[in-house]
Formats: sequence, C-alpha cells, structure tokens
Amino acid sequence: MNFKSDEPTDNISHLAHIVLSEIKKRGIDTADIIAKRSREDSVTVRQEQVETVRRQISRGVGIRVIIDGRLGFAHTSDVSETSLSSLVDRAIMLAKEAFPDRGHGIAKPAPVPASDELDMFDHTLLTVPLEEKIDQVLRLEKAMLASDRRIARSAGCHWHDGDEETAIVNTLGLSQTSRGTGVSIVGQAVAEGNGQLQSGWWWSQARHRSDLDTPEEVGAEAGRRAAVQLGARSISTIKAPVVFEAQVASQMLGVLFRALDGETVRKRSSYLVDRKGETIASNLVTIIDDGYMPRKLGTQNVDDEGTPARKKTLVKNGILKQFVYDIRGARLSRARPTGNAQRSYGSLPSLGPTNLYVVPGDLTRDDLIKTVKNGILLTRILGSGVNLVTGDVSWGGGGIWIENGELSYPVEGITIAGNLLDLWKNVDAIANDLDWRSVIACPTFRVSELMIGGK
Amino acid sequence: MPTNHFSFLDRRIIRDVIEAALSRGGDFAELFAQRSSSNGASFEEGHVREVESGARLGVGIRVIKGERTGYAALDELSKDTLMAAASTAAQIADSPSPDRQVTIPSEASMTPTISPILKDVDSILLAQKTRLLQLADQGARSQDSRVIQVVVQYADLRRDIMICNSEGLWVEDSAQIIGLVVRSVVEAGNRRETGRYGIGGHAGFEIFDKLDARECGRRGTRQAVTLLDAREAPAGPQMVVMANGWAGVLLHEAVGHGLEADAARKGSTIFAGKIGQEVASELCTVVDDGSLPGYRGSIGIDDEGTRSERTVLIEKGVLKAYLTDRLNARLMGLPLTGNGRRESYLHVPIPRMTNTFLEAGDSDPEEILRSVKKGFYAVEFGGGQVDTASGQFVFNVTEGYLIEDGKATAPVKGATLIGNGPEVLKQVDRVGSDCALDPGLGTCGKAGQHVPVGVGQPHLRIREMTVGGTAIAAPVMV
Repeated sequence: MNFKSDEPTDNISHLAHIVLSEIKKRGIDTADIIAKRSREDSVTVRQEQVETVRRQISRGVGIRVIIDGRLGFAHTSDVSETSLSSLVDRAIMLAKEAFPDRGHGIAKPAPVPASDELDMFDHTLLTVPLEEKIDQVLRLEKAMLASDRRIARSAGCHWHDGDEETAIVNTLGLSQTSRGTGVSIVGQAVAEGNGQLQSGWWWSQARHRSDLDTPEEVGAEAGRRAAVQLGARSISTIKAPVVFEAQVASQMLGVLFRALDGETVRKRSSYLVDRKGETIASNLVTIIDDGYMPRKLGTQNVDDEGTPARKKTLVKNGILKQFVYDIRGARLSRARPTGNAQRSYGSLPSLGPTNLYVVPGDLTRDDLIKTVKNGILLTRILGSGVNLVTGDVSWGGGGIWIENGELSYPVEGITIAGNLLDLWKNVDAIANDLDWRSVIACPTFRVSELMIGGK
Repeated sequence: MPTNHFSFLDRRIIRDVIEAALSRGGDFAELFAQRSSSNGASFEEGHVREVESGARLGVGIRVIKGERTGYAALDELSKDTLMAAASTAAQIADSPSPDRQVTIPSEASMTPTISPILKDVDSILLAQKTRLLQLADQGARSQDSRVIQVVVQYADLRRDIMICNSEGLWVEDSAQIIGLVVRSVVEAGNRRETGRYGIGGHAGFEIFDKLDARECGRRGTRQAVTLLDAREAPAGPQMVVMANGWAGVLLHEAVGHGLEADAARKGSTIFAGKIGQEVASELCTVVDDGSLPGYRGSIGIDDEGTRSERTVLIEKGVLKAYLTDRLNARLMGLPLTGNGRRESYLHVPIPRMTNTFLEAGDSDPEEILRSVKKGFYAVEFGGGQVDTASGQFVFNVTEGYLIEDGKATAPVKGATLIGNGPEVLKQVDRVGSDCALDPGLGTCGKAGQHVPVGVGQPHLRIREMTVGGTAIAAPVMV
C-alpha cells in the first residue's frame, strides 16, 4: 500500500480503491468499501460574545466483506497502512462467524447523474473568513434580541458549515464519488414574562450559502417563537381538530417514513404490514422521495451502498404505492433497492429519506387556520412516543389555541395521542407552505380530530 | 503506570502542541486523545446476522480564553496536523502573547479503576458473545408461542482516553461498556405488539456472570404479550405511581438537565439562581454519582480529567448544587463535580449527568400502590425530553397499568406523561424504600452529543400528572 495522507481531493476515492485491491488480493469476490472525509466548522455566539469556535476534520473507511453469504463489517478512522491491512483481515475473520443470509449483496454499477449536475457543492463556503461567520451570527442574535421586548436573553446562536466527500467502490466495478456542502444558521431565544421562561428557536439550512435566509429573518423568527409562548397554559382534556404547523408536520412525515421501511414491514414490525395498495392516508396526501432534486439538502446521486437515489412516489392520493429498501431488504422481499441506504463509514446501512416531501395543497397557512372553529395550532412536540408496530403515538405538545379561526392564546402541558393510520387518514386540509430547511418537508396540515390530554 | 495506547503522543509533542495552543494568549489549553474499539453482533430470525468491529483514534485540542472556547478535532495524526489544529483552536484568543512555557509531568498517571474489569471484552472470543445472542433469542421465543420476530443486539466498547492540560494535569483512563438488547414482536389474530428489554453497564464481560441473557429475552417477550391485551390509556390528569428503576427518567428530565451548570449560567433553566430554595417535595433527595461501580453512567474521571464523585443536587427538597465542567465551574465560582463529559474527541466537553437517581424513602412500595384508589401505574419507560427554559418535560411509558382500588389491573397502551419539572417534584407525596438503578442501557443526547447515563429511583407516588392517552378519563378524586 502506498497511500499518502496529504493527497488532494481524490484521496478518499484513492483510499477506497487501495482497500479494494487489498481485498481482491485475498481472493474475496464480494465486498464494498465506503470512505468518507468531512470538515465541519462552527461558531457560537451568546449575548454578543463569541463563545465557541470549533473545527472538526475526520475521515475513515468501512468495509463489508461477504463470503458464502456471510457478512463481516469492519471500520476504522486510522487509515495507516498497517491499520488498513488488519482491517481487511478483521472483516474476513468476522464474516466467518456470521450465518449465511441470502439478503447480503452489493450494488451493480448503474448510470447516475454526476455529482456536479446535482449542484451539491458551494465552493464559496471553503473561503468564508471566520470574522464573516461571527458577523453573521452577531447580526442574527441582534435581530433576535430586538424582535420583542420580552426576549430576555440569547441561549446561543450558531453558524455551521461543512463539506463531505464520499467514495463507494465494490468488487462489481462500482466506483462513485460525491461531494457536497452544507451551511446553517440557528437562533435560540429565551423570553421572560407572566412568571414564565419560554424558549424558541429557528434556523435556516442549505447546501449553498446563497439559498440561506438572512440572519435577520432567522433571528426575528426565533424571537417570535419564544415570545408567543409566554403565558402558555394547559387546557382541559378534549377531542379537537389539530393543525400541525409545517415543522411539526415534517416530524410526522419522518415518523411515517420509518414505518415505510420495507425490511421492518417484512418482519411484521410496522403498522403498514399487508397494506401495500391500500389507503393509508387521506386522498389529499401524496408523498415523494427524490434524491435527484438539484441543490436540496438530501440530494445525492447514489445512496451509501451505491444504489441510484432516484425519485419515487411512496404514497399517491392516500394509496400506499411502495416501501423503501436497502440492498438486503430488497433482496429478502424480492423488491428493488430504492436508494435510501444511509450510513457513516462506521455503521451498517439504515434507511433514511433523500428529499422527502408531501405535495403541497392550495390553501395558505392562514386560510387553513381560519377553517378551525375550536382547535389547536401545534407548533412543538416533545418526546418520542411512537409504537411503530401498532402505529399508536403519544407526544407532549405546545402551540396556540384557535378560536373561531383566530389564533387565541398559547398552550403548553398537553399531550396529543392517536394512531398513525387514523391521523393520516383524517388529514382534511393541506396548506401550500412547503419549505426545504430540512431533508424532510411537509406543509402545514389539519387533522380533523385527535385526543388532546390536559388538565 | 501509563499505558502505551498513546505512544505516538510523546511528552515533547504534547508540550509543543499545548504551547502552540496558548500562543495567541489563551488562559487554558488541553489535549484530549481517545482510542476506542467496538464490537457488535446482531441476531435475527434465529441466526447471527451481522458481526462488526470498529476502531477510532483521534485528538481534540481545546483552548479557553475567558468565556470563549476554541476547539479543533482531528483523526489524521502527525506532528504537523496536531500543530495546525493547535493554531486553529488558539485563534479563539486574539492577543498575541509572549511564549508561554508549560510544565508537563514526567509521565501520565493512570486513573484508579472504579470497577475492576475481570474479563476484558477484547479477550472474549466472538463465539462467546454470539452465544449470548442465542440465549437471549431462546429466552424470548420460549416465553410465548405467539412470538413472530426476535432481534437481539450485542455491543461492547473499549474506550481509552488521555488528557493533558496547561495546568499540569496528565492522566489516562480506561473504560469498558457493554450491553445486550432484545426486541420481540408477538402476533395474535390481527393484533401485533412489541416489547423491548436490555441489560448492560460499565463493566467487562464478567457482567454476564450475574446477568441472565435468557431472562433478558423472556422479559422482552413478556412486555409484548402484556401489551397485546392493553386497552386505551386515559387522557388527562391522573394520580401516578412510578415503579423503581427506569422510571428515574423522570428525574433526568424533570430536574437533571435543568441543573447542568451551562443552562444555569446562561439563565436558560427555571432552576437558575435557585440554590438554597425549595424546588421539590421534602421527600425528594436527588443525587448524581458517577463513582458508583458498574452502572452505565459510571466514570472514573470525566473527560476533562476530574475524578467523578457523588453530588447531592437536591436534599430534602432544597436545591443544593449544579453539575459542573471546568469552564462553568470557574465562571460561576462553583466546585468541580466531575461532570465535564464529551461523546468523543470530536466534541467540546459540557456538563452532563452520570448516574442520576432519587434516594430511597421509607414507604413500602406495595403500600404506595394500595394507597391509590384510581390512577396510573407506570412500569417501563422509553425516552424523555425536556425544555429547560419552561421546565416542560415528557417521558414515554412503554408498559403501564390502570390502578383500581389499590391494585394494578388492566395493562394500557404506551402513553406520554407530561409535566413541569419543579411542579411535578412538589407533587411527590410517597417515596418507596426500594431505590434501584435502571438495567443499564440509557443514552442521553444533548447539543448533538450522546453519552451513556444511568437513572434510578424507588417507587413513588405523584398526586397528579397529565397522561397522554386516547381514552377520556373520569376526573381524579384525591
């Protein structure tokens, strides 16, 4: 091996190929290698002072070796010659301890868009001076503190930027390299009043800096979210319409995605078992996952096993069209992998969304709220009370009570509970406020009725 | 005796790096090195499905100037890259200063172990580890004929750390963390349910001399079977009895995070500035103690080199202390409590809990149940979350029962319980004598960092909490 640590940008691909040739030398005919390198810089400001400046550079390699259907997986951050050589030996040794599984396999090479065509990389992010990053966060915080006189303090405002490069190669000749950037700004406010402290936060995130909201916009929204909750109180237990504000709706969509994991379904551990082709949501609901949307946060040409991350419709007008699979899940269910395998170099794949969204409706968010006589605008949920096997869910929540179509008073200390099947079937209005500050995007929607637990 | 895990970092390199880190006028500089190795295996559908092994080696360099922190982390280690990282971290301070000399002890001191490792995880054959998976799977399947799926996962981690700082501290510590978790799915007619149980701790493989993998599997299935008959949980206020052990998630969320010194210093917790004030019922004494041997949150030293110790946070209802790291202890004039923890060399240390629990009281646990005419009995728990500013917290009950006339009766579906930290602790009116810590699988996430923690409590009664079920409940009469 002759890998040198200071080679230019193709060093990750080079590293993966070196490991591949070591594997081939040992007579292994089925294996894949993932190598990643990432840089992440962040700045935290609080109360007009820089609090933390941080840089992280890391890289590593993970290999999956399949011998007679048995899988061994080994990974390391140490890419020295001796470490890589023993890594290969370790993976081979581990494979011998596993049981044969017909699901294990690797990706066949397939044509995909070039990483550059998908516009995932913003070169300007490589040269932003530290002073400029600090200035952006100071501006954000200033706007946040000025947004409402009841904003008592900043709980910290952040800038993050980074870039990541991934190489995937395998013994079938697949060799894919992709790289992308990401940048985000975050504000966290604490408001004080009515004998309460309330927190609020907001952020903007994108692959390209020019797609970010301004620091002033983000700061003002973080402040508004904290101040609006002051005076929040609990309500009496009631069944009522619940409007899931876009960010909470997106969390709901993320939960639904987990239930769409085809391997979980095969193991009868999702509430969506036996429901392919059936109605699992209101006919207003169409859900798409698409890795090929240029410039988006979840955009990728291939997933972390090398499968093309192409567009697929998961739910169409409420009908469940398809589940998502990595290679193993697909082979076991006689389906096709969907390009949703995600992993660090140190983990086996799990399924994740690329750019996952619910197709927006026509109503504005405000018009949707006007349709509610007596219900809640849910702006935050707490906890992770999801039973995917049954679909039963229960969360803590907070938001604004709606009376006769008007936002009335802030609410906290309540719970929202139901079953995911009913929740999605009872979506009776979807707004047009789709926005892409995360890899999962869902417009504000209304559920006709849910149990709200209170005092 | 120092180990040779960090032989690439000799005394001279460390001194040069720390001096470079201070070159822009920093008050304090520190080098944190970590070498870890992990092993894992999973068992599904009756067979060992995957086996894995990983290794990490990296360094984090930290510089503090006043309230500011500069941090650089890297895993590509050479003298040049370390010096470059030191100057990145150094930038946090901006007044070029005369060369500062630091004194490094002649060798690192090894931290005395809090729980001797009798069976090093690295010395155990993989076949012995996969045997555990098989036992747990057998236990889970033999418990009930309606089991349709069992997934068992085993993981062990060996974590060696070295910390050297500009104040002349140079220490090493070695820890092992181990765990086994079982998830069963049962099916009856068209109804399916799931149960989960796990065991583990800060220990070597000897932990399985005491803990029974088969029983772990049986418990996972038992929970799933119980839930098959579960009815809807009530919605709204209920008198709540919490079982001992895992239920300590309550303390972790209701008060623990609010007592971490960073939140207190920034005024982003309702517990800020309340030392000496009554924040809980006088029956409540809450302790954080990482020096207990063997539990999941146990640590010899924290990730800044401070020895872990017992810290009384709340004594008979009165707030006594916050959990500190170096930065916040110095800025707030508080003692170090050994709670400066980080997930890995990639992360800045921040105040974190270790093992957090409510101490035993004098009520008989059975009498506590008998004392409730109508209420909710919370036995097993998933995760929780807190908003430290408002004090609103939740935790998820995965196994719960109705209490009717002093007896736990019908099992109910999983439900979230929501409350306000100090208000809930003021409503604690019975504390049992049976304090226990959880079985050893807890992980706490904060600021993007995950660290292993322990939680615990005895049986206790809370006059009223909001239960997030789907069934309308009659009002509680207290």
